[in-house]
Amino acid sequence: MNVLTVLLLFTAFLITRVSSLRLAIQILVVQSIGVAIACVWSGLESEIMHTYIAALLTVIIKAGMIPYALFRVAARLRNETENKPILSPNQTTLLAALLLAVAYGLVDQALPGLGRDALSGALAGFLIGLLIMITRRQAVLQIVGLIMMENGIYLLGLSMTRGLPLIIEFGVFFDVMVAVIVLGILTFRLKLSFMTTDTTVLQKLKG
Amino acid sequence: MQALEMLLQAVGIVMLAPLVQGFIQWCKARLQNRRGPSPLQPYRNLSKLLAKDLVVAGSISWITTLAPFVCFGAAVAVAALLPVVSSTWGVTDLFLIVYLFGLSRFLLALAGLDSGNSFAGMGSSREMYLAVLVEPVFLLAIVASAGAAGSTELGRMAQHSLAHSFTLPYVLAAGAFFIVVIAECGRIPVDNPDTHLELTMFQEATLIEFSGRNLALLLWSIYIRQLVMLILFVELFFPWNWFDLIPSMFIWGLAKVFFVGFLLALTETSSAKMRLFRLPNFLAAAGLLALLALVVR
Amino acid sequence: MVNELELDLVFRLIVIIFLTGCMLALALWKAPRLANGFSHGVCAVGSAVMMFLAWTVLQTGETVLIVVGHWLHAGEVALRIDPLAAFFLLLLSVVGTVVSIYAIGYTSEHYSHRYAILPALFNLFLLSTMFVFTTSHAGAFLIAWEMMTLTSLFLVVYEHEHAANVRAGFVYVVMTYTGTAFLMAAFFIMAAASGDLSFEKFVGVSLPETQRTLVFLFAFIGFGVKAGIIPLHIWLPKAHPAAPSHVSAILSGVMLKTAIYGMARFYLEFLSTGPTWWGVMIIGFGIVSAFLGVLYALMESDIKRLLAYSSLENLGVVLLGVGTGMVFSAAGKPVLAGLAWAAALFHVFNHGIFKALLFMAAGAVVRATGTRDLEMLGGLIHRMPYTAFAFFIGAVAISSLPPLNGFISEWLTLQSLFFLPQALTGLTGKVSGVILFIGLAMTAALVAACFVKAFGIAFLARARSRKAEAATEGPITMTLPMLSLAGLCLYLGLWPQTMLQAISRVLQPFIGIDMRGLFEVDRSGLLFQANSAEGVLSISLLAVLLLVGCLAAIGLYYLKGKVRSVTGPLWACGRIATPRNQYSAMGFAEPVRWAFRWVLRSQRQRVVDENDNVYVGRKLASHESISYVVDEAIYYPVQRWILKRAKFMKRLQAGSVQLYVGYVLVVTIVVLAWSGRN
Repeated sequence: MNVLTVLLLFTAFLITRVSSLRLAIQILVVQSIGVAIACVWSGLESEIMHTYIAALLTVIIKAGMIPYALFRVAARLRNETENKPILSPNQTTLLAALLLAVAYGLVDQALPGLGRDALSGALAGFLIGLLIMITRRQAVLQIVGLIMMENGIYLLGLSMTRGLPLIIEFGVFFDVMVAVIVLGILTFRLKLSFMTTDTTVLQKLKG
Repeated sequence: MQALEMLLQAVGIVMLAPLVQGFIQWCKARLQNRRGPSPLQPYRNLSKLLAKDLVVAGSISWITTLAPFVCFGAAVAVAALLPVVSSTWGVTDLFLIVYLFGLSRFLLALAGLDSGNSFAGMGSSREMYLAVLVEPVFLLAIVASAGAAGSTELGRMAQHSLAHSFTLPYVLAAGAFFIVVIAECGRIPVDNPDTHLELTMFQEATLIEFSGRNLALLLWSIYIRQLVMLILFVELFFPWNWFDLIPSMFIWGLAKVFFVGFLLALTETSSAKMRLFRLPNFLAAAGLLALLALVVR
Repeated sequence: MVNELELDLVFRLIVIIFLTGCMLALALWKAPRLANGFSHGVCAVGSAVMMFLAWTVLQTGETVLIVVGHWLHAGEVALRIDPLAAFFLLLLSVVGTVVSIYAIGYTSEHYSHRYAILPALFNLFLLSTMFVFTTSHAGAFLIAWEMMTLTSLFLVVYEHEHAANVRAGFVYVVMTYTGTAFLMAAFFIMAAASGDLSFEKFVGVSLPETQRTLVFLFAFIGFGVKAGIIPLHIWLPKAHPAAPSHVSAILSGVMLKTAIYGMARFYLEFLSTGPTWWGVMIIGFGIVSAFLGVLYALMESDIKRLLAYSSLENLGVVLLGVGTGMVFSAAGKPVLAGLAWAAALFHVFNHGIFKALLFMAAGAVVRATGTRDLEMLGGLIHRMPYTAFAFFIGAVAISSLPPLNGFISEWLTLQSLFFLPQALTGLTGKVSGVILFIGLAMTAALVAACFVKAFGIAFLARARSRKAEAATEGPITMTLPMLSLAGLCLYLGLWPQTMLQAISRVLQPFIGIDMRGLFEVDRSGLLFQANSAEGVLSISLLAVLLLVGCLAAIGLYYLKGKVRSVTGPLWACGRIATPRNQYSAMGFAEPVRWAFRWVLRSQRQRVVDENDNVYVGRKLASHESISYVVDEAIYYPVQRWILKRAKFMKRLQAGSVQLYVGYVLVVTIVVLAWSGRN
């Protein structure tokens, strides 16, 4: 389990440093597969059948469908890269490290006793996902941040409860799918309307 | 037996109605130091009109054809339902009477709009406006006396008022109801029945496009309505013992009706026509009387 | 006799029929003509079967219970058709059948690329309304309620090309969701007390007094929004005219009545007899709704808005009956309570019939002329005779004139108000009785004025515009439904006994109501007798007398031989009268507008065009507008307050996605830190 937590954190830190959209998506795929393996692992431990289904779904949706859609979007965008992030990669990584520390602190304070590393790692993944969304202007990178966040939440749930009821997991997956679809459409519209996927142009919409 | 009585009573009221109209006009003329037409004049008018052909506008529809029949029919129905001959029929509801009047008013107003004549349209508009003001007072004055009787059945109300006549609530309600009678009969100060034009503006104006037999039927139904109002007033507030076909009582009751007709003529002579938009105040006064009658009960 | 099991099957059959109708419409997306005929036809069949079901239940008085299944934690979900539900189902089915047939003709000129949505939604709308009347489970009820709201919303905004329609839909949604929130609260309180969501368990639950009052108020507000009780009415005059006319007929004729159904469920069944002030409060709202509703209706020149406002008035009259019934129940006068509730329910049914009729006729006018403005109409009686006749019957009925059905329910309401002082003793009782009488009588007279105006201006005299000149009668699928409802108005007016006995069976089971002795079958007509009150209305006698009177009139008419009629010009002081000289809708209402200017606050604007040659005459334009007291006193201040707050909140909303996500981050950390603070 700890190996997987390290994988999650490593990928999260990696994403804070990349500016190429495709690379970010590839890293995301790796991370999602890691989450799926974690899921299988917990299934092996708890011997609950439906965690395998959840793992399968994770692979299909987060490592398959969503990245596929994102790749298509990125392919159409051509040379859109994160040129001027709000915070430079160095600053972002630094902040991410800070968030990791905060996560450890919070877990120690709020949820003592449980698997400390796994929990903090998951929480940190969640917070770093948010951080990515804040510090990147490109819409695609924001989607990547969202899914990272989701992965973090998922792992958090997994490490705390040994698997949620299947119906709730279905709900969560569905939720993410819808969010990504909406965001994907939004990205397209953004490109059509403003010739860019830089989300700062959205500020012009403010009434 | 009851059906026969009702029918006879209806025929009686229908035949008497023009005379009462003639009598009021005659009184009025005398009060104004004129000789005036004979009280039988309305009969002559009606018979003349009933023989005449129709002149109609091109834009009329079946509403104009229907209105005289329904108005007359409603008037006859009311005349038959009043507990004049006997108070024990137990079939006459006061709300029904009010709404039957409403039915003929509704059709009359529609008939006014039917031709497209602007005067007639004005007449219907104002007729409905007057109804908005009169109907609450009408119902209120009735409820003031019905509340005491515990029923809105006219026979019971009349019997009750016979036992309690000339008590304060009844006198107050009588005042209110007299104003309603004036308004419903289209008399000064609410309306002027003698002219046909702008100064009248109510009932008579809606009739402006009517002629011949249609006009005769409508006028007749208006006369019947007038007599019915007078009888209602007398029954509820100047009660008599039901004559059950006793002649002396019959004459006594008739005398009272004609006396109220004389009162109407007196009011007409001694007051001036009121402006249209003064009417709410006038009828509000009547409403206030009825309200007092209810409260002091 | 049909047994219960078969009725169960009939119910399922109806559901299937409606769903088939919906699917058919969608399947025939590319062929709107077929979609129209099949889908609306299937809908009519479904409604007809529903009529059978409802009538059987009403006749036998037995409750049909259909258990649907168990929900996760919400207990057993069941459908229950008791006589109360059956009564409302009957209204829905009668109006539904007729309107579905009418829709075939009415929508046949509306074909567009998205036409199929219309019949599909129409089927779903009727289906969901049926579920509202039949579910006996709070959760399922709310779902059905929302389904009904949503389908009707989509129908309201069907013609979304007009911005006004979309806006109307928006107001509708906001208002009904507010209402639903209150309903949910009411149900939750009930559910918490009874420990179950099933309606059967709600009956006679003992609640603490404050909670009981809360349930009463929440249900009143929640259903009041749907009923369009002033001051919760603002959506109604916007949404009802915006919908296609056949939908308006259902909205006004049936959907408003779901509110009365809900009130009956809550106040008769769940809460049973309450304190006197409940009834008094409902009476108060009823009389205000009735009076203001009709006053605004009379001021309106848009024929569909006029009808919508008149619905407010009729619901007000129904509420008078409901409130009076509650007061009587509270005062321990079960027979009079029965009388008042019967008046309310009968008026519900009657209003459903004639308002649907009027909306259909108005729809026919709109379809033929393309305008809803009364000032553009006129003379339609010559070109659309059947529609005109149907509207005439509807107008007489809604003006509660004998011998049509509106009069019967109005009479019952008047009678129950007449006996109100028996329950409300003392000076308050007397004074409130007086005020109610003034209000109701004035309302009745205003309704008559309003419908003289609507019928007289739209149908009589000569056409006021080219559009009205070119009007033609609609197809038989439109005229026949209208005429059948007109026939029903006449039937219910002349022979109300059957319906009133059915209503007796509906009301008898409830506590605080005793229907025995009321409405015994009597040849002469209607009779009710309580130990301290009695009333009689001899309708058949009246009908005979009216007939005799009319025959006498005809006899007099032909007394002096045959009649010749000569057509002459209109008398107009020697001038030639044109259609422009005719009395206008605005002019017709002027005296009343003037008399009630203290509540209408009408403003007049005159525009004189000075440029024209003074010797020939100048152009004058006159505009009258009225202001809506309730909107100004309640809604505008709220609107201003919200806008002001929104301006303040705008500072937080910078428009930057990153900032928003930043809010999320901050909140997450704060929440986590707070949760682990000890």
